[in-house]
Amino acid sequence: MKKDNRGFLLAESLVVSTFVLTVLILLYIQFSNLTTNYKNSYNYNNVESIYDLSSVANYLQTNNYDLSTKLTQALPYVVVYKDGSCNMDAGIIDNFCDNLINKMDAKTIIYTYSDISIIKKYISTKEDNNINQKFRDFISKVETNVVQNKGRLFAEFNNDTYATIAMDNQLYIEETPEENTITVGGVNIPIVTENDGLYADSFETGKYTYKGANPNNYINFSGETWRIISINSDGTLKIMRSQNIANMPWDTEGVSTWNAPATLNTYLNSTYLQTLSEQSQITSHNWPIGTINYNNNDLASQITSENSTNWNGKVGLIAPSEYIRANTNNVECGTASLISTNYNKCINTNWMSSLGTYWWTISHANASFSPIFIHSGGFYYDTDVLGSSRNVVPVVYLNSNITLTGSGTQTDPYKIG
Amino acid sequence: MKNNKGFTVIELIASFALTMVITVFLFEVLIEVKDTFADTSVKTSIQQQASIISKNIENSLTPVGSSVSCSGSTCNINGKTLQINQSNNRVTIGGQHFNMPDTVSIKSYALNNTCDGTNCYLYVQMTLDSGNLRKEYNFDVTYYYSS
Repeated sequence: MKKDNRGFLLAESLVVSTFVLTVLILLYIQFSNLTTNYKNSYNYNNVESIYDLSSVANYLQTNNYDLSTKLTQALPYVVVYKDGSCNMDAGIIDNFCDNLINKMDAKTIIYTYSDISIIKKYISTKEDNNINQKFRDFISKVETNVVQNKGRLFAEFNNDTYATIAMDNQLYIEETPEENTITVGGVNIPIVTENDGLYADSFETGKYTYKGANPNNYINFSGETWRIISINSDGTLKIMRSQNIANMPWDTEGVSTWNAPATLNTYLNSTYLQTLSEQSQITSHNWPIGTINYNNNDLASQITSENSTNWNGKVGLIAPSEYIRANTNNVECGTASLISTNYNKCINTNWMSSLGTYWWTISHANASFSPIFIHSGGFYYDTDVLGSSRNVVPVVYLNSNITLTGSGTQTDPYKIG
Repeated sequence: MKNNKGFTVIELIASFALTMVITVFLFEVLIEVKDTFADTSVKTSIQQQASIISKNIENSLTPVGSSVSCSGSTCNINGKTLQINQSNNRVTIGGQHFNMPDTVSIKSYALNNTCDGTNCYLYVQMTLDSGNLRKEYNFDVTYYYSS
């Protein structure tokens, strides 16, 4: 019989080759994933990059560079450093910044909202030369809990490593906080929607305000009992003394605005400030000092008016809207006009009412250019500003990087450090 | 009729060649995985030690009013001594020794601090080496403090 010397059929060869090729491709994909994961495990948030970025955060906070005010919905980040230079447009104006970050060998550092879903959404829809593809890949892979009000730094280093930290220097993976809480100085504070407590502010995003008859907002400061008015979007705490310090005029020189300066401004920021043992914890801040109609019926417009003029300093007084916002009874006490009408009822749902009446605010009336004070009929002003003495309740902003202990109750107030 | 023929030489050569190619490829993958594992193990150990060292340095620096002076392999941080001991492959902070992981040696180092007004930084750099590392590991951290 004829010997069968035929080789493989073309079809057989193709089947075997395809099978072998498929196995090799699958192996390569698996191996490639392994290599990528290995690189990422080292290149993302390694110890050196985390501590370097922590130094940037400490530098910005110590020097009070408030970048949160530069963030917008259209551009939800600020370039802190890029290509060898810190961003003067963001207000970072000293050479030290360049030296510090150059030493770290960083390529790009950006500051953005604590809520990273905003920057993730931005990079997924917009082209941007500041954030290259590798940087985008890193940002898109970050999953972390929101640390309210602090902001977040992302960095790309020249050795292809990447890092991110919250501005209070909590590291990349944080403990899962309880629901409806914010972390302030390392303490979780519940956010409430009824009764006494800390409320999300209805008028200013990222701000939280203590409301009610007696919320747990007590804090020890400079050996005295103070109370927290609000936790602000930049992470600072606005606090006021629990009692007045003196009965004195708002101004004796005939000036009409706080930043002129009024003599009370001068007194609080020189003589009084020097008496505070923890003055290093106070940060200079922009204060709302715009004029208002003392008996208006529109709180949103009043806040806009107050915020329209700012003064930068360390010790001030409350804005009238803060007195209104400390009340849980919005229906009957939600405007200056309503407080005037329902004063006796309103004092039962406002912790600031424990200070009584006749104490100064920082604003003056748009009608008379006289300073406004808390009155048994709501807000009021004197036509004879030079001759009027009222109680003085100092207010300060505490640094955003403070550490707190305690529970905020009257018997266990928050303590700094 | 029964077909008793075996493989032809060409068939055998072709199949051996294919098997060899696959085997070589698999071995390369395995060797790469082994090297990656060894490299990662050393880096993980270094990172653990680096984390402890960094935390101790940061704790030594107070947020405000720190006093730091560096000379050679030693820095004085608010009264605590930070020292890089190259011969013993360890870092000492305030009397506590932090040894580098096994097989890891300190090849070179740099310690210095710089101030501009009250803004200061402490720079700590060490080049670490090990036979299990693909390339030298650079521990390079800048710690900000306010004087």
